[in-house]
Amino acid sequence: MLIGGVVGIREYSDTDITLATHGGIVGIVGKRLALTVYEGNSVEIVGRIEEVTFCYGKNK
Amino acid sequence: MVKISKLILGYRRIGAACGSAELASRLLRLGISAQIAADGSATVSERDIARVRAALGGSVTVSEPLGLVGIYRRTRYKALTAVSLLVSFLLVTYLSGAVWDVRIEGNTTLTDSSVRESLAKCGFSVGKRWHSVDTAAIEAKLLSECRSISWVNINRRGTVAYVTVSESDLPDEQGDSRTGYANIVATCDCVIEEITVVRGRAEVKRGDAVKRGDILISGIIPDASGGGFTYAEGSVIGRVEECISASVCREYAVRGEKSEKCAALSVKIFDFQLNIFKKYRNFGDEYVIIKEIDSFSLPGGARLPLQIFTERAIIYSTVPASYTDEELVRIAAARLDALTVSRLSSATLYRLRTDGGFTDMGYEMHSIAVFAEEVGTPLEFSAE
Repeated sequence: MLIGGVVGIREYSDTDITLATHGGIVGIVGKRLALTVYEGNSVEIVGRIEEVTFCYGKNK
Repeated sequence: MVKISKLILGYRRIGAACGSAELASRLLRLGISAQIAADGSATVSERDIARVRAALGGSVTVSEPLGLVGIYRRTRYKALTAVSLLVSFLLVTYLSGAVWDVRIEGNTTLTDSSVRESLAKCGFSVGKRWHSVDTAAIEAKLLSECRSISWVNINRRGTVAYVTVSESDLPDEQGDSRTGYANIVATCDCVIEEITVVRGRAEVKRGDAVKRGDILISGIIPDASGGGFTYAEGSVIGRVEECISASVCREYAVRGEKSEKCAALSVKIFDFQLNIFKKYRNFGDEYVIIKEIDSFSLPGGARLPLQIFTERAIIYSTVPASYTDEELVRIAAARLDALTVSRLSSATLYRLRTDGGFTDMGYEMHSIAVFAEEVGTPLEFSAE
């Protein structure tokens, strides 16, 4: 999964990733998650993604 | 897993005490592509390592160069490695330019080895250089030399040649298929103009009048020539006189005013078809069903998986009408012209006389044509 407009990574483990984007917070829960950052504020997440949550705003 | 581009161009593994999330955020802000591991390490390509060092300073530990570039940098024998790589590259390039295997597909009666042998005779075999092979020329040569193959295609996949063949149903020699015995007999009443015998014995000569079914070239060999039977072959041209006629009825029916009714309507979404409406009853004496399919496409060229099928019945009513004398003659002449051209397409015309007249029904026109054409056809017989 490729996510654009990422401004920071809040949490990162192989089961849980939380990203801060321009639009808000994106939470990804899964197994064997791996993260790759690219130029242009893009982040790629590979692994078994089980749940994606969105939260409008910069704070949870 | 390290990406192949990094493996070739070189990469380094960096470690940070600040944690994986913080390291990822920093690299993201710097605009550096990196694969982050959950244990706080990351793999960064060799070209970005100077920027990482400048931005993160002593807070990160950087490993030795890894990947192919790393191996090259660490080795003592740099010149030898470079020469080995160059030689390997040249060797692989040279060897990949040759045909390493020829695989035959599509053959049922022909064996792979026989097709390979035929290809070798045409100049295509294992070991040939690809750049010196003109596949189109080889295909044409194989088709001309091997009559049992009706179609061939040579495809290159890597260093392997895949040859797809289609076998011909016809035997190699046309003459060999003619088993049994036959006479050549007349197809119509005519006067013989010319006779050419390839096999058999001529039974008629130029100027003879023959009836339909008469033997023109006999498949029975006379005793003086050894006796026996054969399949007669040859060409017999005869002068034929034939009447070609065309008639037109004065009365005819025209289509009157038409009305239009919806006969069916269905919607297809992906592979699922939903029949909304369908009319099964007869619409009248004369009607035409027009089927329309409406598809929808987006500005980018993509097509929506939605189609609307419509059937419209155009219903006609018939009204009696009649031709004038002038129209009758013109239509009959056109019909007779078409029939004459069709009949005389493979004949040599000597004379054509056309006549016509009005009848109770309308108009009839006929032509008496005298022409020359092939009049012999083989008729097989049994020797018993």
